[in-house]
Amino acid sequence: MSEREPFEADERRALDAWSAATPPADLAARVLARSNRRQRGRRARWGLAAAAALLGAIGGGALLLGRSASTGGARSGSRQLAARGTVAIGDRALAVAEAGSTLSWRLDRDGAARVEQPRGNVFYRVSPGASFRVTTPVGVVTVLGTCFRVAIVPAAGTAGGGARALVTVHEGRVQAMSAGFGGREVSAGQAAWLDGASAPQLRPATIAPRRALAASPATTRPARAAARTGGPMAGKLSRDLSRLEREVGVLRRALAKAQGKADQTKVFDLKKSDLVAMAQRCELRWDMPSLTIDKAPTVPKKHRERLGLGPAEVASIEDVLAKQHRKVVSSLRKLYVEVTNDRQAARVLSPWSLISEITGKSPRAERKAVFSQLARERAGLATASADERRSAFERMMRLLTALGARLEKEIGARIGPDLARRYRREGGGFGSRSRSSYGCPKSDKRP
Amino acid sequence: VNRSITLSLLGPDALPSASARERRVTMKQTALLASAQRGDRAALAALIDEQAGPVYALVSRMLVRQPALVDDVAQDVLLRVVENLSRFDPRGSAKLSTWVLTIATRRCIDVLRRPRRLEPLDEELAAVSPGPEESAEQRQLYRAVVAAMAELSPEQRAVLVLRAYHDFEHDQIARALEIEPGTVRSRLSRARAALRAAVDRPGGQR
Repeated sequence: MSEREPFEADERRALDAWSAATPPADLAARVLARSNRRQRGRRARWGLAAAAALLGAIGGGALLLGRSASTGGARSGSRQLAARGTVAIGDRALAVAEAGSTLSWRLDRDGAARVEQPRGNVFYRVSPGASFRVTTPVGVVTVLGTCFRVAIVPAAGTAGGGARALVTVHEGRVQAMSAGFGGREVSAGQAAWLDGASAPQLRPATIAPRRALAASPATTRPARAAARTGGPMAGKLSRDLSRLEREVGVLRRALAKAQGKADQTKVFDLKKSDLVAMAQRCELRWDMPSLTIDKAPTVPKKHRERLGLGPAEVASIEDVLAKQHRKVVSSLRKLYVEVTNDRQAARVLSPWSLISEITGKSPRAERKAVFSQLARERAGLATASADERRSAFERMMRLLTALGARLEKEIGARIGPDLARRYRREGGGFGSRSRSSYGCPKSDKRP
Repeated sequence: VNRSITLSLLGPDALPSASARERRVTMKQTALLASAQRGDRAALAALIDEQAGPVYALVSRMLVRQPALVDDVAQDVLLRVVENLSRFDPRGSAKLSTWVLTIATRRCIDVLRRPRRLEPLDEELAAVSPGPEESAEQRQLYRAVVAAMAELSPEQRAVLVLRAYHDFEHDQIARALEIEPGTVRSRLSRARAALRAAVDRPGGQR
């Protein structure tokens, strides 16, 4: 049969109007990752079955299975939290919910999670894996990365039962979808409002975006993930992207120089005039090693090659990096517990999540004051007070903003100050570079 | 339908009128499928990437009331394609795209039939809406069409989507949905009437 009835003009018009969704760029990569996990799971089950059969044959035995980094949560459930609490959602997600939050969740066989958050303020940390989605009264947040917060805020005169949802992304990316008004991707350092009456609106986040000056994770991560998972073009695209990011950095610096402006991407070795100007804006810039939850940073291959670092020098640098990493993560966990009294979350949250959470618990006015004070100290316009009642946020910022210099000094003690300086300069700073300001306090006396 | 994919599994002999370029595309696609079936992950990634667009489009239209499920269901469909690709016979009667979209359609109907434990909160609207550059009239028409399509049964919607957007013939639709060709015609007729009504009453008031 080959009946090819033509659609009438009206019908065609209607069909043309019914636009379809386009797939996210990383869909194929996610599918293949899931396929790989399933295959590994099957192999593991077969292995277990064989092992169990063998043990049975020789008289029995016990199999103990450990799940590394597992949150060990229930596959379904619901919670109404009268006090701040940590909820494990399946094996790979943790929700830190503020008092008054309500959550329910269900995992399907593949591990895909459906979470409903009708109210409250919840911080989520999600390990990579099957899909993870949070449904709110005003829209849906689909996780494409790792750490984010959804805060349902009462608001009169809006859809969704008089509420809005603020989605703040700390690490990775999410897809925020407002019912009927499409979706938009929200990347690390960004925040978006969902109100159920319009498309998600981006707003500047109140968190210091991770790698604010470096390549945007939103653009680089999918390409790099695709490069890892295959795809004939993915590797090339990833390399092109890295090259273009470097070129953009060079061009920005050249443009700033040509215009007689201070280099806005420079985070250390700043001139006095730059520091004074930054103090006027209550702005801080700093560099520090990349902080991950489970492993210390290593010396990039390009640094080794360009600086001609030998194995002994690389080992020395990595030893310093590892020690500093442990110290910083330990300090951040202590500060987090001090702020939240939540030891369980402190153990499992990534360093960047801890930073985001500590920042989030600090009033904005305090953040402004701390930034102002630190910026003035750096410019030589103020001295550090001996006040021992410094807030957790201030101690955290002092720790983070001093890390780059401390690291250079410690590395310098091992491989020589000149080489340590060249190492730091090679990447424009250690691993992660930040430039941030919350604005100045109203009462601030400008220098 | 992606022309290159449509051509992919017919083989050069089945395309007497195809241009040399199309034949090259066909051979390339056939080789891609063969590589993917042998377990070449790069070829598999490329093949899934190519199928992702039509699958996503079909799923988003089928799950017009459940935009939140689109990504998961599309992912699930493509996962089934990956896991069953070795069983697909390129010399058989179905093209790869037909086979993939049949899987997608059946999966969507399964999803739409099963009782929902978590009720979506965005029942009224679809996953994609026209952007700000679209006219108000266009937006109104879009909403009317979405509302009309949402009123159809999953099976009626499937017939229309496969016919109008994926170029399935009636007999292909009948096989995909395991129904009689006569049923295809009646369901299509009902869906077309709904389309016309949407254009006549773009306010979508029913």
